[in-house]
Amino acid sequence: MEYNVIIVDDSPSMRKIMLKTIRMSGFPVKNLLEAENGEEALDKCQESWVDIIITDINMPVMDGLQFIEHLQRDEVLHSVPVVVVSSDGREPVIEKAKTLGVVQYLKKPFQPETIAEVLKEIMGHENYANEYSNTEDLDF
Amino acid sequence: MQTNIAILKTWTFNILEEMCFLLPTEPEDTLYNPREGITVKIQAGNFFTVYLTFAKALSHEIASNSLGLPAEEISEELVHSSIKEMANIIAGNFMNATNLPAVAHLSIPKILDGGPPTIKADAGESYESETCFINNHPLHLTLIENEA
Repeated sequence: MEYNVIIVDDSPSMRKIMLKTIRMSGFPVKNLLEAENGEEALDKCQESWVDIIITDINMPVMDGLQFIEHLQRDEVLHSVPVVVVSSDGREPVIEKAKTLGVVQYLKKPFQPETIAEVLKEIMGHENYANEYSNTEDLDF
Repeated sequence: MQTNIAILKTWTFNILEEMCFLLPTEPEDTLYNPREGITVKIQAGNFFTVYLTFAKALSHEIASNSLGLPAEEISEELVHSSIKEMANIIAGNFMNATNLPAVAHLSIPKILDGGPPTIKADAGESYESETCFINNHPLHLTLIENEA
């Protein structure tokens, strides 16, 4: 089975890093979508089905926590697992995200292997190709 | 006890090493102008304002190393995006390390147009700054703290 993943981050460079990380992880991806803020992500999630949402918190227009609140109010999208990747690692912020239903909160900087492990755990995958053993030249 | 500028410097070194494989170096015996470079401004609520002025060569190395792309494939837009993201991660970790309350949110990092400004503290603010060297390129850190 292959999954649709959306990466929500206002930084084009961070989106590039995340796309590269996920592609190289061997996680079975059908479509990798991108959005630069929560509002754009909501539109994309309503246009096409996504299986996992990976979002930053600190974004213009609609930040990550506002985006997650919108997802929780949506009768379809509230069931989509959300992973937050943020530089803000303060405990009250993490707690707030978790009360909104976030399944994982990763702090930047992160190890590429961590993203792969989190996706695997969320989707219940044990056997997808672990290509990290062959990614010694992976820069990030 | 570490000063706040020392904490900021520590996290700057940590992040640039972990994400870009760039290490601090001793100052080269050459003249430089700390006002030459690209400045990113980011605020942590009303508590701190952080300015990071990256030498142009350093900003290109940050983009190239963090994205894993050769220099010729890095556009100016990607350079700006990369150093804004670095500033965001550095300031976020600095905010965590200084235990700012949850009401303090990071602003969106902003590249200051027109080159690095002359940064001054207003009344009720303290000013700390330091120039360090990363891979032999200057990086100027400025921290304005609201003492109110």
